Amino acid sequence: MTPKPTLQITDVLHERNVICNLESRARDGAIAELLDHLHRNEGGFDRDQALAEILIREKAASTIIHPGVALPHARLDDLDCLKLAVGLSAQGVDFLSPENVPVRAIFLILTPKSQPGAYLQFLAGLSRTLSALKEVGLLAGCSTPAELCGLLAGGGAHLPPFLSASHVMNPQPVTLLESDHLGRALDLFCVHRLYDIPVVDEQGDVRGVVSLEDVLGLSMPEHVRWVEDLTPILQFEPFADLLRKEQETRLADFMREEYASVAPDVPAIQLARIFLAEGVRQILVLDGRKLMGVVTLSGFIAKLFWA
Amino acid sequence: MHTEESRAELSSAALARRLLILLGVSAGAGLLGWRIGLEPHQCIAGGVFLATILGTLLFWHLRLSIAFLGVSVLILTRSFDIPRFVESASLPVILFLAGMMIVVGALRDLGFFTWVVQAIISMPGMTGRRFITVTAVASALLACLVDEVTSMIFISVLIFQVCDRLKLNPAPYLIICVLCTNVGSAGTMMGNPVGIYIGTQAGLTFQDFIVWAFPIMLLALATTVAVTLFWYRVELREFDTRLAARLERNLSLAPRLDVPYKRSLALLIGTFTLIALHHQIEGFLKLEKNSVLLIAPLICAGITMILRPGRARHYVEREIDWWTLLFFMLLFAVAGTLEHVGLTTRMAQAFTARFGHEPATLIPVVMATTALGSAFVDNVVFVAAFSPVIRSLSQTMFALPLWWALLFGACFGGNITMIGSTANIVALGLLEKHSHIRIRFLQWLKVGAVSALFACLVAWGMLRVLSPAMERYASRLHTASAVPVP
Repeated sequence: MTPKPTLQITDVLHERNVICNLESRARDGAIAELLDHLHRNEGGFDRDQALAEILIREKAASTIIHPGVALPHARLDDLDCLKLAVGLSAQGVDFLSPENVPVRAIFLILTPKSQPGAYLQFLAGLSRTLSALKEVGLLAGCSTPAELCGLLAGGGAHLPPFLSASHVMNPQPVTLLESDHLGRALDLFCVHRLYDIPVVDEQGDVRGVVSLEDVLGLSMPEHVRWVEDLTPILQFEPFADLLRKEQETRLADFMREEYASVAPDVPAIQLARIFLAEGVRQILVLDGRKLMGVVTLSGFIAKLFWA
Repeated sequence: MHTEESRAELSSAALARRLLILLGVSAGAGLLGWRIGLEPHQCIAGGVFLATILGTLLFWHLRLSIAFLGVSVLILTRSFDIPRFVESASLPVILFLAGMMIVVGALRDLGFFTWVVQAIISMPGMTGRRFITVTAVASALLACLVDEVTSMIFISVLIFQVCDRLKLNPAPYLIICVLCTNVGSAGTMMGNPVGIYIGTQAGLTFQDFIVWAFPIMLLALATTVAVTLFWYRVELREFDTRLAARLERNLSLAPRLDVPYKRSLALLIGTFTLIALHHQIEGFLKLEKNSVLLIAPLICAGITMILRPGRARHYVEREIDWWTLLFFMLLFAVAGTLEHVGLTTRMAQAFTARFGHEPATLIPVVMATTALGSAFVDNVVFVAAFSPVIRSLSQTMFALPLWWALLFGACFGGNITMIGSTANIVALGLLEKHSHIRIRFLQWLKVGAVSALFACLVAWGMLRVLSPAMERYASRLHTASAVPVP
């Protein structure tokens, strides 16, 4: 079987779809300006519907993926292929982000609903390009569409041929050290509203996983759980000991050493299978034993069907 | 030999090698039998039975497959037929075990085992010796009430809980409890599948077990506790040190709670009472011997499922170990064939020709042979092979002490090696899973063999002393099956 040829960003970005100096300084205005430009040049989609979808998505969560770079996007029913427009702004566009950093490069992406992974594949390719460029000012400083396309092509990053674990993982997950104590785990669980946290050693190698159930299990031992109906027990204060010794109980004493894991290049479909077949909420992405990232079930669903 | 090695996936070469050994040895035994004058059906039945034994040794996780094929060979060679198969498969025993498994599942649901564990953890004035003595005795008595494997599963959770809290290696305490559980399993018919099998084969009642087996078991248990406490005296001192340090910091071993146990206790007492009174009920209703005994767990399981309809399917599908029960059924059928083709009569003749008819000689021979055999082969296999021989012997002598020797040999012999009983294997599996600790064969053998030796010596001595009393008791109660036919 002939391998599928890999695409570059410039294969989907036409010079005619680049605006080097956006007029609008506001988020919604800049998005509408870019979208109008793309609709005029390419057509093939309902402009109003696309704008509404993009703004709903943008209001739900910021699409700033890199300081100064935003990726507003939408998935549309009647689109036949990925469409991309880029807008640059020397002064910057206010994207209403908490950090208040003006956005100087906007990559507006429309993808067909029939290709749910296309956006993520593009995102992966663009991230690699941005990492290679290091400085977003280089992008925003382009004065012509040709210059921008040349810069992106020079980055050399390809769009990945398929969606893999590394594209859907959170590369900077919350982690615990095996020398940490229960108290630290409780803090992280509550502050970040997590269900499972990977436990690593000083080298970043995974040693195990701690889940909310493990913490609860500490206060409710296995023999208590044998009883099917605990409702007659009204006076049960299992947490007193737990709270008293939270700074003494090391994670290594109760973390689980069994966890679901995959290599970074494992196709996303295998992750879906693991989530369903093994009933886990989190899959660790490992390079050997080194933790590269974490794919949570909710994050996976959001990225595949919503992001 | 059901070791980790056989538990793991075998390579094709290793599988082929073991299959060749199994077929070669079984066929060789059959040919040898033919050379010494056995009839063809006797040779085939002997070969198939040997293959079943070897199947448990070489293919622990495929033993059911070997048994399926063995039964098929017997039917195809007309060594026995389907009606004979059904008769020999000891279906009442299988149903008894299935019913007990359902009752055990309901007992757990209703809090009985939690209550026991909680009661032990919360006992006042706890020390290492007191904790492990109480736990070991509790595990032995639980084995009497339910069965050895169930007892071990629940007791091991208690040990892990306490050892986790004290940051102790649970292995010594777990070994003490497994050794005591195996001893305790000889106390009643429910303690071990061999108990109910021997009971039905010998025509013994629950009362017979309580009168003869239970007291001897208690003495053997006391000996085993003493031996193991001495063996692990250093570890017990460490237990005391850690426990004192924890209590000083005002930390408990488990959360305190009042477990709602009354319904579970009612179920247990109901089942136990029905089993204990089976002989009287059978007499009153003029029923066949042991019929109430065998259906007692079914009655209790049936009522439980009616009262807990939401859990009924769970009990039947998840609580019953169908794999093991099917294996037992086929094994009993194969053992029944040995009797059917007259092989066991010839074995009994050879046995008495070699060792005579004196109980003084036969008791230690039966006990030692069974103990050594059970150390390496599933004790049910060994008892199934030996039972027809003892039944043949009972035609010419008073065989009740021999049945007890068979029972004690099979149960106590399981202590000799780490693969000697299912309880050992289950406990060591739990230990490895929970604490990542693997016990070495020799490490177990030292303490296991010593404790088994002491337990067997106690049982042997007691059987020698009690034999005359047993004969008087049997004559008085007319336990026909166990008494020699004049």
